Amino acid sequence: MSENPEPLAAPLIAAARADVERLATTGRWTAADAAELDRAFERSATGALRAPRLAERSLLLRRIARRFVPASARPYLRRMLAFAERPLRVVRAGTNR
Amino acid sequence: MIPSIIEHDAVSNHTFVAQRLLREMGFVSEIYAAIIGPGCAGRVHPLSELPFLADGRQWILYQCSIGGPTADVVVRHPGRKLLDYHNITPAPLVERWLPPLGEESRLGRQQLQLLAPVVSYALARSAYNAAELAENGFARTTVVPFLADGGNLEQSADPSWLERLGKAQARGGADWLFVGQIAPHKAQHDVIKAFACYRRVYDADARLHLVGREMGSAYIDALRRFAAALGLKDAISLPGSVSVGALVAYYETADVFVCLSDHEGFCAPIVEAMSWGIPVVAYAVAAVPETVGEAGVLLPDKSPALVASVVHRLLADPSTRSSLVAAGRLHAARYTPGVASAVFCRAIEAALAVP
Repeated sequence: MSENPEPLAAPLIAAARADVERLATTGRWTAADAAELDRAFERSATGALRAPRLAERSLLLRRIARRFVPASARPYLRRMLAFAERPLRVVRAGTNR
Repeated sequence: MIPSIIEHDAVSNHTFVAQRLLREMGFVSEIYAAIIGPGCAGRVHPLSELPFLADGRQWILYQCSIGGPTADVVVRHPGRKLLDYHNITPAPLVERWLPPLGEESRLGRQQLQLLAPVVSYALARSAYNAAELAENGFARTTVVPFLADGGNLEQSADPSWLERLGKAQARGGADWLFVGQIAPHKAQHDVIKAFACYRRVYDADARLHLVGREMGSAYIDALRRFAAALGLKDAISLPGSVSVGALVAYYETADVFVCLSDHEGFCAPIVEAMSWGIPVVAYAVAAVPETVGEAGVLLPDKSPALVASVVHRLLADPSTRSSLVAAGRLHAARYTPGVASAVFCRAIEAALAVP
């Protein structure tokens, strides 16, 4: 990555760098704000990467249950599955961070 | 030959245009793909139908952007081989989100070394890509720009999209745009970070449009969660892959094109944005400096505050903005379908002349 040698953009970048310093000095946008953005994305990423795994686990439970649970017991099965899938919904709602 | 072909995809579009040009040059040209996406059936043959003729009259033009079994077929084929290199995304940029894609990327880079001794001539999308080919042992390489379908963006904007985007625009606030696959190496999360800073510091009414088909579900899910966590759910749109008419509407209404990708082998949307008169702000990495040239703002880093301040100054200063727009239009003219097609045809003639 090299500095942009382009004559039009170079003064723009220099002026923007000065803006960044002013924002930090006045507290309008600091390194802590940038770090908080990084952390917020990391939390979103962790949640998004965990959700498919939970969905896969839930699907597996359904497949096993369909095979071994008689039709008469299906209403109980549905309630059991709803309970088993509860963590997935909690993760989607973002309340367990 | 191409590993997979799909609608609204830059490499696939390039392949269709290359086929048309080869036919116009008098060749019989057919496309073979291992995976044929919806909308391409009838125009592409399955790879299993590829004839293996050792009569010296059959040439392979392999569109290389990922690893997979197609490259092995190319190596084994008795015909003369040309490589059209779009670059391969480095595995570390994608494997956290899509582990199989990381594997395919690693395989693709290994396969480059198998292809080098059997390929007589290689076409590269950029000088950056050409340098990678040279490092991998390709003896003859030339740069051929991305082949765009000339008719594509000459269509009118879809009126319903134009109305929808225009209504939002009328409420005030700048429209940021990035066009490209929703994929971790395109770093849309960094665009969101910069946009969040811009909204807080400079323009509370601004909107961000991230247009493109998603690569897997986890990354786009993370972007949606991120936008919601920042309270920007209504300010950030992720419309997915859109029609050409809708894409034209986005280009017509955007105030700035922001590209913070961590890897690009060329980045055609940068050129499209320039041709639409949108100023471009881009992170200077991989082939991006070459694609942007001197017609946009190349950022040495992509800290949110720097990106936001650059965009703010650019939009607030009509003189700099109009200079960049004019420079962008001039630069984009180097990649018009006519120019790129002529370079492609000359490269094919040069390849044929290689003993």
